[in-house]
Amino acid sequence: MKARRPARGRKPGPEPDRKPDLMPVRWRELGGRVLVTNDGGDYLWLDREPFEALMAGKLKADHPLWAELARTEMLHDAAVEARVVERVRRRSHHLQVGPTLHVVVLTLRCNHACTYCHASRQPERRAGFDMSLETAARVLDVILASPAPDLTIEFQGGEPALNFPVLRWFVEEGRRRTADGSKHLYFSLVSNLTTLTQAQIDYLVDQGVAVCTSIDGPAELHDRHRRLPGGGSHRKTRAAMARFDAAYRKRRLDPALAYVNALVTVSRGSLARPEALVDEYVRMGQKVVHLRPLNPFGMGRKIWAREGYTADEFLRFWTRALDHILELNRQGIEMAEKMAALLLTRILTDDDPNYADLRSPCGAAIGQLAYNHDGRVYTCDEGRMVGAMGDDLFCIGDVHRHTYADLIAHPTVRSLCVSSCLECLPGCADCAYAPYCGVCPVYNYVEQGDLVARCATNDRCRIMLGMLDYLFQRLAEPGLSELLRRWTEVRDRSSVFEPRRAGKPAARAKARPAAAPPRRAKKGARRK
Amino acid sequence: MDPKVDRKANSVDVLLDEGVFPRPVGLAAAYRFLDRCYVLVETHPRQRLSVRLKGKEPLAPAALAALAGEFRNELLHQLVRHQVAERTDSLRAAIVGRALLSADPEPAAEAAAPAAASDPLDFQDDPLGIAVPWEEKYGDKRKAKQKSKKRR
Repeated sequence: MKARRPARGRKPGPEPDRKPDLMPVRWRELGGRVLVTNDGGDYLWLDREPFEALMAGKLKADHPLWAELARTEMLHDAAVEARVVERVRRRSHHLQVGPTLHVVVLTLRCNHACTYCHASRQPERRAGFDMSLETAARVLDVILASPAPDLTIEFQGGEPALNFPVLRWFVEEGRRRTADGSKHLYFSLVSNLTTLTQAQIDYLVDQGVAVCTSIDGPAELHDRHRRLPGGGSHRKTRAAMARFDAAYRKRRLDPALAYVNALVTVSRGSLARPEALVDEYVRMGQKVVHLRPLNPFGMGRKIWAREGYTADEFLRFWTRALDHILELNRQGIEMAEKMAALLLTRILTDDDPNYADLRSPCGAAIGQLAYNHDGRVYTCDEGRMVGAMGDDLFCIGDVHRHTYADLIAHPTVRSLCVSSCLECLPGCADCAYAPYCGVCPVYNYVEQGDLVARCATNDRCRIMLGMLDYLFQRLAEPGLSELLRRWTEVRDRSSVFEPRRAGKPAARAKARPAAAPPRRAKKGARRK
Repeated sequence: MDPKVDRKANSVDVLLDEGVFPRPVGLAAAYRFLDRCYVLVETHPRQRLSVRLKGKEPLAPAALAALAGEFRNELLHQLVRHQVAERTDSLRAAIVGRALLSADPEPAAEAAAPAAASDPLDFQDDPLGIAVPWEEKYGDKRKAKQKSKKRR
């Protein structure tokens, strides 16, 4: 059930001499109780009866609920208002930093032919789909013009490792141009790893390039979807991960921080086997599994009909996977699900993980930019995928003709910003989950023909509601709150992703990047 | 505002009370159907707005009824969108303004730049005469002189 309109400014105080004023709150009925949230992200569970009394202004002054309301900063006074304003500022830290993530598509060529591929993939030997050095130079100019002090260049494709010389150029030229300390530059590579030579692996480790790959589950499941001519994608990717691990160990890097990150693209074939998928990640020694639903960007209807599924089917899969992970946690096995961990960070702390999908406004252009191999620039990687379908609505320019300032001044940037401002959208503005959630106007455009979602029929909204319902209900269970809180304790890995000289181990720990605020745990919201 | 389905004309007519659905809301809802329908909008007496949705392809009766239902849902969406937009106007301006400013290289550079030390003007200087009263600057000087003489 949707949250009702918040009772802004209502005065539920029961006595003439005591008229406590509620802070703006939102609520949602869930499992026979009512979840009340405020702008600072605090929450409180109420039984139906006291909730109705509270909203009707009939709650008696000696009711223990008053203390709970005060503790969770639901009652208004000047000090509480100042604290909530400060917390909203911290939770919206992304509004102060500019585009930090720069997705660079080095090539559209790929040696795989995945069943759900939606990145306008081209065959491995086809010419004309690589980023040239001339284009790369323009792209780097634009990236370094971003006002963000910390920049991450994420190499994507196709299979980006097929254009390794340009990757090397980016790393070395980027390092050279930021050697004066004017920017902190980080690199990451999203790759299937199967084309990398040992020399390339050593280079990536030495240069501190973070590596992310895809493992879609046990070998037979992975290989069914991630098709490599001649087969053996799972075996080859796992072998490359082992070589990375060996390279990290050889350089005496902390194995808790230095590892190849892996994520899952959930296709129809995965739906029946969430436990097997999680177990595969445990076997791999991963501490986190990211269960990403398929998105419809750049994907033909035929592919979607074969590989796609409903929001409810995905949620059944996801909740089963999380139940299994929590059971593993109880057995002492460290594992978390990435999306849940991000949402829990929004719920349980005042940290801003600056995840493009969970911020308001979304990260399109103001948090990330995507550069196609030919120099066209898109608001985000999703926008680039829509471009691959032949619709360049989200293309905001070309590095050969436009400067960074031109790109950011493009009207599409403003439109996306306005249409993803959660606090001002129908269906979102009054939703109890607004302090934790985010929208994707590109998804809305593809699925519903409008940047603004029709929440009631929007599958992404349905998935977000389902995930948050699950997490809040689990948080309310005795003993689970502390366990789930551990999922938010992410160690900073930046120390291992910096270039290092031969023979010198990297620092074991490093302060968080300058742009990130210090972590602050929120006061725990208890069950009432 | 029960919609009228006209099977022969392959269309649906909806009459809107502008007291409930302001004109921008009705127009925004109708606009969403441009890809599937030819849309005719007319004003009627007593604050009524009529919207005719005529299928570009021949539509079965059930499809016409569904079209009417979709239009009514879209009306509600646009109405709520309109209301939320009005209610949160200043909040949106603040958030979006802040977000766009953070990505804009110029304000960031300006903030980082030291104050212009070579600027010779004091804050009390008024080289454009902005602080000079209008009467002093443009008033009829002759009349002003006469008035001052009379006073003497």
